[in-house]
Amino acid sequence: MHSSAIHQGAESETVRPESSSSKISVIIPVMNEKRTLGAVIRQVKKIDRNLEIIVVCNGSTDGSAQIARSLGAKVLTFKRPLGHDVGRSIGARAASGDILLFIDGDIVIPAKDLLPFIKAIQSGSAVALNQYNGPVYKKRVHPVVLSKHALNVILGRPDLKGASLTAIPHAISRAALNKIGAGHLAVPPKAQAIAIAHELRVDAVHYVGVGKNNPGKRRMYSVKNLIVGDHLEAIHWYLSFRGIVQTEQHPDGAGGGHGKG
Amino acid sequence: MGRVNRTASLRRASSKKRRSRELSRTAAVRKRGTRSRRGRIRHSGAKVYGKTGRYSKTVRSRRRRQSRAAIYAASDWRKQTAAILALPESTALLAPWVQVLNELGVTEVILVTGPLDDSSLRLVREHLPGAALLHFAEESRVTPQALAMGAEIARAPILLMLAGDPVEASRLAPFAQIIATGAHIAINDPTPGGALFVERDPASIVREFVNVSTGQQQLGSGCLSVYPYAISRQAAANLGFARLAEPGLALSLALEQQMRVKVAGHLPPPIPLSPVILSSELADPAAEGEASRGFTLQGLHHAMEKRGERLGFPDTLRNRKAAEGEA
Repeated sequence: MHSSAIHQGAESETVRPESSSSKISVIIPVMNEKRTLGAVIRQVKKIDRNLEIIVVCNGSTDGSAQIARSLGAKVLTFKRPLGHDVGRSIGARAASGDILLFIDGDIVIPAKDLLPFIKAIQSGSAVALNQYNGPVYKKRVHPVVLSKHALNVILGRPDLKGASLTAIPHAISRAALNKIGAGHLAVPPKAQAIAIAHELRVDAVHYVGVGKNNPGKRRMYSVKNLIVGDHLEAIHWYLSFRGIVQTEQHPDGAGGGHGKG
Repeated sequence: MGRVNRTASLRRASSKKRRSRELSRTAAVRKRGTRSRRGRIRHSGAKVYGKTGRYSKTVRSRRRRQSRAAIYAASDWRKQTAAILALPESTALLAPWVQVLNELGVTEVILVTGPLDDSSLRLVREHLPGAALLHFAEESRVTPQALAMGAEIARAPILLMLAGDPVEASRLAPFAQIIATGAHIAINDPTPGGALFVERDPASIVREFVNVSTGQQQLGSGCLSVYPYAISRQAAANLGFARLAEPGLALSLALEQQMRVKVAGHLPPPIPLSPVILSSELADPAAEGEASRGFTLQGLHHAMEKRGERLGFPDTLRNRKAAEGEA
């Protein structure tokens, strides 16, 4: 089943970014993904041999951590599952790179499809998103797809369509991380709202079809309510940022942070 | 003797079979023309008692009266309807709208207009002799607030709120008819039935998202910011006529008060009227931008105030403390 997640045409040669002056950190949250993790890391290594790979292993019992270590990744281990996307926050906090690339341990993406995200940050983007819009050629779309499109319209960026920090791969600059706050990366739509509200340059840079025949899609549908709620939380933050919603203390420079425990 | 017994036993068997067949039929689909037990009691004209225990009316006569009233109301909606039309720029659209309103034949017409020249005034006086004019010196003053004022001065029990390009009378009638048959609000869901999501305008996407996230999927991308819509005068009074100028909030309040809101048509949305800038939004150009783009977040904001920022979509999966670096 997991083999269907592996993109066709993975290249064997190293695909380097034009400028290798900026250090790249790749953050990979993992929960029992030993089947795909090795291939994921091998593709990442083709981007640049000097990059920092951070695997956030949470609730894994299948030896994923050992695989990551054997491939030279820095492994952060948590016995219990952290929950959706929390690994991104933890990985970002541990990262030392100027560019942070986020991928998942269960979807193998060829290096050539990861490179455009790094290049976009090198060329001035603060946040580089996957152009994937979800299945939109239908009359009634899934609430998650609807939420992503609606959030971008509300944020005044209808041009982004359904591009979202919810989807991997995506990359952010160190400056963007500082502005957004690592903690907010656990609620990706909120991180996106913070980035856009603070006028960071957010671009949809490259299409990677992560929605078809891969485990990520199954997971997305099983956490429908969570993701719709995330978008509502993002909208609430945005209204609050604009001063429409009265809150006790409003969002600081890093974005807000009235997260739930 | 044996023959008689056999006949009797056959009769017993067949009556048993028949009974079991009848039972199974009742459980599945009742035979056409037969009544349920409750239906038979109703039809018999049995007396019913109210919650207080006091004898009130017969069910039968009440049902007859109600259905007669509903049929009368539905057929007679024209006599109960006031059309309130906002026309910021009256010169181009006035004549076709006058034609539509004449075809519609409603009992009361209120025109909320910007500057009117003599020929326009003459047109109104000649072809809509009973129409009331709510006339503003500047086009920009013809806002949803002005339309709400028009609704407030109307006397008819059904208020048909109109703006934008003229729409065929036959497509406007269902909005008033739905109110005549008991709904409180009849809205326009501008999302065409057969259109793909990818073809939708951004404002429709937001309105649909607001409806989905507040549990009103059946309203599609409909909202009171999309004309035409109809509302019963009573419902508008309960909400407060001024609320009609805040369409998202008005719809949210209506649903909260369990008013019956139905979709009455799928007409393309007109260009939104000049937005009303509320005192709470004076320093917020984004809110003005939203209104001019055809959506409003007031309803969502209101729902969030009542039900929390995530509405009914809790986050029970994340270890947020770990995300904040506290773990």
